[in-house]
Amino acid sequence: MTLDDSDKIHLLNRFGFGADADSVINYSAVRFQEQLFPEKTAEIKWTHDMGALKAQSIQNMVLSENAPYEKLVLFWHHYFACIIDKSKHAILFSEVIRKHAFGNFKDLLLGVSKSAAMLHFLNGKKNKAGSPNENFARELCEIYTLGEGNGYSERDVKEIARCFTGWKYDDTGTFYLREKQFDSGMKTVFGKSGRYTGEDVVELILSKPQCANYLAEKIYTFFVNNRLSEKHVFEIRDCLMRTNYDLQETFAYIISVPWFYSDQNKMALIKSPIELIVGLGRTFRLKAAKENNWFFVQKLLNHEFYKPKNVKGWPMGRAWIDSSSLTLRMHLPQLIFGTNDIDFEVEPDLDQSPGSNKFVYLKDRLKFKADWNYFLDSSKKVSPEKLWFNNKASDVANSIIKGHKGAISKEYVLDLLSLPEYQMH
Amino acid sequence: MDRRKFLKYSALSSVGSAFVPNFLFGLNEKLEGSNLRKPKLVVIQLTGGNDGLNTVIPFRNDQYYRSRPTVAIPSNEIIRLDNELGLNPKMEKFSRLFKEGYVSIINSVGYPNQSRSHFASMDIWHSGADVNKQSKTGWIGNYLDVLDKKSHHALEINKQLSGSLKGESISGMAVQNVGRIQRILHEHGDLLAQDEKFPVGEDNNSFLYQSLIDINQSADYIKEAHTIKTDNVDFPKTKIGEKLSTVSQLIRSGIDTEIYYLSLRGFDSHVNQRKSHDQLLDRYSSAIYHFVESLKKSGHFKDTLILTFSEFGRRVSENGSKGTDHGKGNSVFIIGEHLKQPGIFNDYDDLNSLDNGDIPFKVDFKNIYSDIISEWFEESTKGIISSRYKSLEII
Repeated sequence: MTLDDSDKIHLLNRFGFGADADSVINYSAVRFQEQLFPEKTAEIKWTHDMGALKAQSIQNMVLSENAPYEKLVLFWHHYFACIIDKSKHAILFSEVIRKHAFGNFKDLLLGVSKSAAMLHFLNGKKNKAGSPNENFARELCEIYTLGEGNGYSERDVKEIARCFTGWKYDDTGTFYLREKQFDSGMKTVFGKSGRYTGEDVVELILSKPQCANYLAEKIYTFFVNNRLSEKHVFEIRDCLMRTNYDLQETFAYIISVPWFYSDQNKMALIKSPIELIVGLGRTFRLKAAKENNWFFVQKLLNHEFYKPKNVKGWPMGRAWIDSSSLTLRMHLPQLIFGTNDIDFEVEPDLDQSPGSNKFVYLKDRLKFKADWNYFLDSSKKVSPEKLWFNNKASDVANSIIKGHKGAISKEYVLDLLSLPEYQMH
Repeated sequence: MDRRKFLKYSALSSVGSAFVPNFLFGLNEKLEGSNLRKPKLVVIQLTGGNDGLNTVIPFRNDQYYRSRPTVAIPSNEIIRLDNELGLNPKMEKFSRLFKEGYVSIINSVGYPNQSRSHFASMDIWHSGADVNKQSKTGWIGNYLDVLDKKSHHALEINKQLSGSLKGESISGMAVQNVGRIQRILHEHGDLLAQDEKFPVGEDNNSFLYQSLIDINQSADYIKEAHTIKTDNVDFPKTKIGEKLSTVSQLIRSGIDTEIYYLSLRGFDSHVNQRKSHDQLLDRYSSAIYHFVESLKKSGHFKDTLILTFSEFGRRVSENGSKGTDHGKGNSVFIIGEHLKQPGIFNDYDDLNSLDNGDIPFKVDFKNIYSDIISEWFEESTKGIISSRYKSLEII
């Protein structure tokens, strides 16, 4: 289908971190698909300090030439919420996600399930024949595939746990099966019996339509609209089932259907803090005064890589908003561009620094340098109002826009960035 | 940068009365004279894992003294509550409340499969959900959501909002930075001063604008309520004293906030515990005593319930640095005027039958939350607490 500018902006918002002038003017469907499903992604030289790694994870998204692909990566980090303390495990976990982000969901699910991070987080490594630990089996059903109470019983959870016994990782974080701890007996899962392994169970789960439906809902909520359309979710579900969970085909399908570009889906979602920061980072080609500033900004906004609130993951949509967070988010551009004199702080992380009682003050830890020439240059090609609000600005916002006369000034840009509309995409 | 316009408050009223928070109407009704019961809850979070065993001390127990050669408190210093248990010597003021019959001490509170991570365990306490049913929202946030309350019905005297007060569509409000919120809003005064109508609808953009108006008005109101009242007792000049002084002022101003939330930090006592821990308990004890005095004076104590908790207790044995490491079960305090069971609700179980070197949990913390919702607020716990519990018959 032919996309107009508004459709292109919408596409770059949802599969990407916001539209820039060149991407809209020079848009080509072929090029976009190359960015969404890159043949080769840059190899990353990961750093091994946890804070620096979190900073690096967001920088990848800011600097990448394949923003659409990076957005898929972010989605899967949300989908497979996993609290990770060890950088070695976090790197391996990220690599699995990056490898399979638009591959087959089964490979991704198995890769994540076998990652040291997940085996540690949900106690899989403690799951042994004779003394099963059900934590992973339960969350696998409830959060990663079927949805709570949706197509499985308590008995199934117990039996599934037995199938995953003996799953371990070694010092390098590599998966292996400890045969002795694997329960090789008969198991009954979803009414079928066999000497199932963990891999078998994943097959059994994926064959249930509930699984495709659950994944379809998650994709729809993240990329399309938090108000579910049953009809459209079914279309995604059918696509997943028809293609045997081929993610590339599924995402390609979503961006090909007219309903994705419908008026009600445009500018309908509230950005997560990382989407907000990465968007700013790309628009202004932000450079951090110190690399770890990219980490502190995550801490400040409570959206920290490898540290979701719990297994349920980070908040979504409106749940990001409260009085402190909304005012802070509106004020974020001032903080980043250093035109602010209000200090912010974060509480000490007692798990990282036991016994600490010191707040970290952020005034100098949030400073970034913006490339204003680059920004002003591109704003001459396509106006920031068009890129950021996509014709959806409220009357209030429009009256501020109309009230502005003359060339684009830094102050005017800060006004635009502080509008509630900038929190949306 | 040009000097920005200050807020035009009159312009805000042009958005219509639909946005005026309920409590602004409420105030006109002379709340203080009315006979309606208006229960208030004050939650005090001791952040870092309070050492319950050096707070409520089993002073006859040999195991306690054997396990803690340097950290244990000598039995002759302890403020005795009964024949088995006593309070940390720094809690003399708190013990007065106990002797008045205002305190119920519940020991060995926790949950199954206790996590020793601060982050994970605090999250479990905040969410009020079963360990296997973790939630993105907090129990107080759920309370606001399910009962269709407003943001200002739950205020946190803190700079950022903790997980307890996070709801799905409505969250409580952090008000220690209310001045900062006002400053930020002033910086963006142009936006709030527009004559155009703010968007109204079910969409997310309208939600953001409506939140903004709500925040602006709540901030102004809270600031005002906070300054109308002055202290009616001499609150200690400590952080916790100041926070409780703020809560007392807000309660006495007649604002219809139902839940106040505050935290006292510094309880992660891995090293040289005695001095710092004693000092924290001293501050807690003194501040809470003056808070109760203040509310008694104004007649608000009968409607106020105070809950004190921490994310976990500490190990029975001390570590090699004259401190204690993360443990499991812990003591919870409930303070109120007409408790059904003041005193010590339950003793510690035998310290010789420990759970891996820890006090095992006997009372599920969610049971206490559940009682607060159903017996103090007289609301159903459905959608707020994940399981059902039989009342402990304390509140």
